[in-house]
Amino acid sequence: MPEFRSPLAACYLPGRYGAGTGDAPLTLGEMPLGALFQIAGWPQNFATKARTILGELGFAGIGDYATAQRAPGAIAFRIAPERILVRLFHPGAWGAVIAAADPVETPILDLGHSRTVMQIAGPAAKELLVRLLPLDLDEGVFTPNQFAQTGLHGVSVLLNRADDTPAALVYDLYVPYTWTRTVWDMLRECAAPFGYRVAMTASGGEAI
Amino acid sequence: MNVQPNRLASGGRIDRATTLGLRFDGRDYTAHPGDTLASAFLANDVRIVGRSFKYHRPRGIYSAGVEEPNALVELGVGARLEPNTRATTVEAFDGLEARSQNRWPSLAFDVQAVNGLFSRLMPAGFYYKTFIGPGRGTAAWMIFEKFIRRSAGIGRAVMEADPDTYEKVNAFCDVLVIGGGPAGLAAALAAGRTGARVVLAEQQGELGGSLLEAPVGGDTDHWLETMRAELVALSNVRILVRTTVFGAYDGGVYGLVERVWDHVAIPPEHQPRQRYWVLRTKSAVMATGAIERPLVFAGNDLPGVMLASAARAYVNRYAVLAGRRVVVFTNNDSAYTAARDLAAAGAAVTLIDARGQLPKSLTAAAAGVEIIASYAVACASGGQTLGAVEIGRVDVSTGQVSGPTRRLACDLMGVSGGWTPSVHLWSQRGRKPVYDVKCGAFVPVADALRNLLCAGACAAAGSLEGAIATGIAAGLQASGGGRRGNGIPTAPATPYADDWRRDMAPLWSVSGAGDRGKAFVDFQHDVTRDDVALAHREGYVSVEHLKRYTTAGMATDQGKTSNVNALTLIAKLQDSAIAAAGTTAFRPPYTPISFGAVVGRECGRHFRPTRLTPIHDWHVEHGAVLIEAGAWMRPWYYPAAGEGSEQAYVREAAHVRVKVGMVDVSTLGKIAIQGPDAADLLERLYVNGWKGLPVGRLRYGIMLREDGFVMDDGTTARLGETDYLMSTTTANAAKVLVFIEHLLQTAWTDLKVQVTSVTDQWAAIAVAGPGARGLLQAAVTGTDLSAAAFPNMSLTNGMIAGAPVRIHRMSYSGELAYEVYVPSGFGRWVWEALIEAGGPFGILPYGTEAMGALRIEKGHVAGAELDGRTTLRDLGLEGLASVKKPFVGSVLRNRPVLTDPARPCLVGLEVVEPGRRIAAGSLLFAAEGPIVGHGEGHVTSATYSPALNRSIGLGLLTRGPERLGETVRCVDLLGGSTVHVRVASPRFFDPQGERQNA
Repeated sequence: MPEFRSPLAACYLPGRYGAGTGDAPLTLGEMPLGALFQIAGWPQNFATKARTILGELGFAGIGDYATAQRAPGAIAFRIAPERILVRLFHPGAWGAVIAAADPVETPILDLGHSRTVMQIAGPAAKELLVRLLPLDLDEGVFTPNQFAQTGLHGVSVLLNRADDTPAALVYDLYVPYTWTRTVWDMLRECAAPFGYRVAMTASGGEAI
Repeated sequence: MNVQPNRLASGGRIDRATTLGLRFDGRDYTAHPGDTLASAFLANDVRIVGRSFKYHRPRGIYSAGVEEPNALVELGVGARLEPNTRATTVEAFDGLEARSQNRWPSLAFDVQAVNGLFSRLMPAGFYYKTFIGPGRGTAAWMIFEKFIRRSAGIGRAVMEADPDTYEKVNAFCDVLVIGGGPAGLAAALAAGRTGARVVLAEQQGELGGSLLEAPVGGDTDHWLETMRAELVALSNVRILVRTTVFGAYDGGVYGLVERVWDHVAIPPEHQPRQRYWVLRTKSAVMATGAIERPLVFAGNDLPGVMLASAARAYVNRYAVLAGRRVVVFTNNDSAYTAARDLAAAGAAVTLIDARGQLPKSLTAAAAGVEIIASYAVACASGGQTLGAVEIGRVDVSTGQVSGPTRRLACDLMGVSGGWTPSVHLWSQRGRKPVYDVKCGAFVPVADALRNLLCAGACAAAGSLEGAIATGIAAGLQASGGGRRGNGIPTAPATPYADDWRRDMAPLWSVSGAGDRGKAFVDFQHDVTRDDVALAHREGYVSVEHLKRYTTAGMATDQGKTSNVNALTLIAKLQDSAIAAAGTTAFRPPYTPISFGAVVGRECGRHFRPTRLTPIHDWHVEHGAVLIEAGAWMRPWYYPAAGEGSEQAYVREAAHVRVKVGMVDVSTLGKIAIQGPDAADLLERLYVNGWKGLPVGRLRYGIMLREDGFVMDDGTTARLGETDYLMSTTTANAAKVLVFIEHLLQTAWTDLKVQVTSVTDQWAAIAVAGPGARGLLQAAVTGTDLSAAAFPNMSLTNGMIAGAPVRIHRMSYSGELAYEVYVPSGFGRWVWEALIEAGGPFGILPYGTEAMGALRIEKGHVAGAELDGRTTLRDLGLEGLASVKKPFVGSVLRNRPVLTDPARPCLVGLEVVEPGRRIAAGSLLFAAEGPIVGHGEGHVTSATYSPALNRSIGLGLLTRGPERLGETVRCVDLLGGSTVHVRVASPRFFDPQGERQNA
């Protein structure tokens, strides 16, 4: 089996860093992407065609430009009028997607290696992100499930609020693979004044 | 340490229980928490704190706030040294170290004070007249400039790296309230009570503004505490102290700098020293107050002369009485408050009021003060500090003092020429304030900006009651909460005659009997009344010209205490109304902000983002020397032990020609083109045809800009019926994608095509050399890579070490070559698998320098030739263009200027002289003749060719293809060399392409 290598492999070291000691108000970590693909189409019939494919995965509709759609084991972001980005946490459903798609009407594009997912969690998560993103992340504005396409340190990223309650803020940040290290370094530098923890990987290992 | 001789026994908003130690010019002093450096100076009877800019006159503290023009000190040591810091805004802390500026050898004895003796030779504009005039041209100035530069400026810059960090924050709110004085507090609470998200920004370390200058324990303190407590308790109100709103921009965007840890010597570990806020708000209330205005008279810069309100602030807020015999000189009511408080503190106070008619209610409020009406101060005198003033009867309409004068001994003088609303932020939004005759000030136009309201003194509300009322109204309006009050406590009654607008006399400048010495308009730049008159005589009648000619208002204080006085003097000289003179434009920042705050974290390795290929770590681990290619870091070469760059890349390139090498080309742009009209898109973009390209084949293409110049080149692969992968150059990837999207969204909306960047999805490895096929056949499974089954410019899919790969057979180096595309996360895995499989074939990695040498040997164009100024014809690629179909640029490429046969065209250049080198950028001249002008072309790329054993290059030469065999000169004007080169075909090596087609 080929070994997947994270762009953070050389610098990802779980531990506690920055200001203070003990519990940290921030946790940063890399999460496995799973599968990522783009569904695209044309104005004349995109809504219908996309709904068919998304329906195979359990999504109710094609969504809007600010709210992520959730389905069992999947999340979808409508990133443009005729483009939807779909993440499958477990890639097993990929085959059904391909089977349902007409490449002429709804071209599918595999982007499963093009992004890294960084997770920022904890009471200080919002305060960290406003140091990097020109977004209004206040509780009443960027509610759970909201997403935004924006720029972080000059890099195009997608931010999704992945928690359910303000008591446990969790954000997922989708970063292009080749820009991941620079974004991670910047995140850590901005997190230092708060004190933060770099999480163990989802697999429980020391580093990816 | 010294006792503080001017500290009052009680009062002040200082913590007397704690004593701080600080050092100024090597001497130790004490202060208390709550002091500023300026109040500490005055408490310790330090009266001279600096020397003026041009004349090196002794200067003392003039104000108590950001408007301070004189007390600029150097703060800190080493890498934390900060010049030109206003002592009036520095919060005292234990261990504070400061030094005076602009003096040598000492503050008390400054050699350059001799400038004052020659002041007649140094009026405004003297630089231009004296130092630029002599001789022809600028030769004289270039000599004088060295000496002038050494003595110019006030502070000195630090050349060490800043050890502190700074951060930036984005914030959003419904209402931004600028200023934490009475009007701002009222506005913030009014807005906060409606539930709006409010940010209240106050430049000082605590809320209160002008209320902090009132005696401790008065009714205003109770009101202040009540307001503060409720604001703190509101969860929808964010209070930022030590935060200056320095700029107002379009779209409700404001720039703020928070001085998080400026009030300590060294910030705590990990904490930023300052924080730069980019705040976006729906509405803002400007409650920035007003700055007291000086009066212009002879000797008005002597240490001991200060603003009346400042003298009061030092008494009430800092418990410092800076003089025992005090003269207060005024043209308005507000100074009576200062006189009264100074008298209550124990000073003998004489108030000189230029006005004749004074109501009893006003004079009664100034208990204990001797009042002299209809008089003005004509001159202040003393040695290095104030000793006395000359007063005389004044005609307010002319400012002339006449008749016998009286001499009053004094050691402190407070002046008040009225108040100037701080309208800077409002003006930054492109509005001009208007002159209000009654107020004697420029004020903002009410409701001129829908989302920037003004309240308090900055809107010329002359009393405390008025300030609070306007604050409430503005806060409600800004938050959409209506115009009725919502229960904000009203203004507390005060014993003060605090409405400065009442019957203010239009007096700005005093001269006449008793007038001796210089009268300063702009203290920080040493601009005198005479300088303004000189500028007028010399024809600088516009306020903008006057500002620049005299430099009035151009110092770090931005004319906060000088602008209006300068304008009034101009108006008087021109015999016109003050309103006609107008104001200069206000620009950010309102007060100086540090470069550190502007930069934030984007310095050092974060100066800009860095992009790394999926195989980057392997290159680093194996000793590659890296080079920047735009945002990318790429391996430049892999030096063996003892090798320099040239040895390494020549070795690498030679190795590719005889064995096999591999290079990381993941940086190339990759764009997925999908949809039934994908081929149509390519037809329109590229100069050559695409509809006939079969699935599984590649084609080289060039695309032009609309103006006919070459934009980019690359190879596009047809992956499926409606599925293509376009490659671009590394540098132009984003530009090409944006270009295509722009066309699809505007001009070609009929095309069913989606274009998506997949540069991050794929790593790419070029394998090149005679051993390339053998290596891949050993490493790849699942596909036939034989010459027959896998011809040049085709693609196939396979597996390498269990990873799915797509292989394109194509060559950039001119050797038998392939590009291996693998999903990014498996990039290193496959690279290492190829290294292992390549062992028997002698595989070596090579970097971008060797890659460049190889392509130059082949005459392939790259970024240096595709620089946006070349055409297909220039590059010898005219034959690639279809004549059967239109494409972007197809019309304008045939403009006469682009088809001129004299245009420089691509040629090869062989160095004739053994051992000599040529450099890219060198100019090409004919073999004979003068080397003048821009020559007949230039070198675009150069290298040492291992295949040819000599230095070669590519260049653009006038009528180049007609001059093959000719010898020309390659002239490097920067490096100072001339090398003879022979014009040749750019296809130096294997011109028939036999090796790549093997």
